[in-house]
Parts: sequence; C-alpha cells; structure tokens
Amino acid sequence: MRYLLLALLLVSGNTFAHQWTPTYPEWSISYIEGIVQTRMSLFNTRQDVDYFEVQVLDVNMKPVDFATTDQIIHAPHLKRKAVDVYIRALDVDRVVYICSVSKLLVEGNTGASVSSRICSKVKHALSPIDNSAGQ
Amino acid sequence: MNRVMMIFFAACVVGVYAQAAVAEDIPIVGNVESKCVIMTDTTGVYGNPTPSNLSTDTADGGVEPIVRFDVAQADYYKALISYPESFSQSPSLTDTVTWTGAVSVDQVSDTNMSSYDTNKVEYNNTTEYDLTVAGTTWFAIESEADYGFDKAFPGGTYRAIVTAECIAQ
Repeated sequence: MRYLLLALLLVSGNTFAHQWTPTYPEWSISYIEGIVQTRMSLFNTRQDVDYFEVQVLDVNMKPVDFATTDQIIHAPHLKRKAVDVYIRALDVDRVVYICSVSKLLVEGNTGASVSSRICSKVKHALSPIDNSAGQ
Repeated sequence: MNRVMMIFFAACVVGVYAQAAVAEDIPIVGNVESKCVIMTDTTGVYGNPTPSNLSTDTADGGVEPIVRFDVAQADYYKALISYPESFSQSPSLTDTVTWTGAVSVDQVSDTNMSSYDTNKVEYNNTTEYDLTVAGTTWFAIESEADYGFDKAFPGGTYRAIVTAECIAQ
C-alpha cells in the first residue's frame, strides 16, 4: 500500500502543482529609503495555469499596498520565478500574509476547475533599529 | 641517504594519494524547508442527471474534482477548500441557481490523518483543515447546482471554480 501511494506521488505529483516559498519570509531593508523587501519563490508545475497574482494581506486578509516588478507573474509550466515584494516600512507590522493566487482563463473545459492560493506568513518584523532606520 | 630518500619519496606518494582522496569527497547538501504544494489531481466534470441539475456526483454522471495538498512539515499550514457558489462561465441565466456542496478527505498518505474529517471546520461554502501531519492528503469536492424551480438549464458550457488555499499558521 505504501509503495502504491509512493507510485501515485511520483506519477501524479508533477502535473498540476503550485508552490510558494518560503513559508515564513522576513523583511529586509531595500535600496530605497523607507521601503523594505522580501524575496519569494514561485514554482509552477500546473500545466493549466501560466499566470499568478501576488497579494499582500493583513491579519484580516485585507489588502495592504505593495509593489512588485509584475503584479501578475508569468510563470509557465515548470518554471521557477523569484518575486521581490516591496512594502513601506510603516506597514511592516500590518502585513501578515504574502500570497500567490493562480489565475484561470475564462474559457476552458466544462467541469469545475481549481483555483489555488498559497499564503506565507510574516512572523518576524524588522528589528526596532532597522524599522526606525526605514522610517 | 638512500633510506632518507626512500622515506621522503614514500611520504610524497602517500601525500599525493591522500590529497586525491580528499579531492574525491564531494559533499551533497540538502535543505528540507516547510512548504505547501497544491495539486489538482482530477479536474471535475458536471453531470446533468435531470434538466435542472448539474452535479459532480459519480452517480449523476459527473466527476468529483480531487485536490491534493503536500506539506513537508506538520502544523505549518491549514487548508481551506471552497466549493463553487457561482458559474465562472455559463449561458445567460434568468433564474436563480441554488448551490450545494461538500468537501471530504479522499485519501491520505499517513493513517494519523484519519482525524482530519472529524476535526474539520465548515462555514459558508468553505471547509478548513489543520494540516497537523506531514505528508499528502487528497480532498474530494462535491458540487451541485439546481436551477430555478425544476427549470431546465439552457444549453451551453458551464464552468465553476473550486478554491483551494494553503495558509501558513
């Protein structure tokens, strides 16, 4: 039974997956004063999805202002993308989740499709010295 | 003198071999990080058992979508799975659609995950699972749509979206 499960893992595991790491990102000072940044990694093995959206959210899942080079990320099948997320140092304590959401095309097959969202959690704010330096 | 030369030569040979042995030590470095991977194992299909009903139930001719969650570390993530409450693609509908659905564990890679269905939390159209065991869990999603009061769905393509979320905790 264990080998059957392992075989299933190997056979089906690389077709329609979406991975967003690290689980617990940390902010660091960016090259712009008052702005902090973190680097996320997106790995797309979903054949049915090419585009992902980044979301930066507070504890109530409400959006917080942020910037990335591309808000909609083009990550074709089996591509890994590094995504730099920038927020104001003032918002460091507000941001709790950094998420990636798969974007599905309107046209497609006739059945129910799956939209996937993975959210990393920011547990460690900047140190007080860094925070004050950012402000 | 010859003995000294021989000792020196032997030392050099041993040194060369020792160095060669050191050069062959190639380290392999790995890093296990906590992560969650969401996979679509089976894309759902709506069956149309009666003119007013669309259902993913196998008995109704449908196929239930199966979503797989892989977590590398226990207790790092929770899974939120929502069955659809609207069509993302459909012909023009003039009457109301009543949506029902359910989410349940389909398969597990670890027997300790057997409590997931007992401990799940349901609200609105969302079911929440604490992923307390590292490994793989497959979730099956039922979705059913009833149109008006036994009204026939107009012909065309219908599509709805299941939302699968993995939230770090």
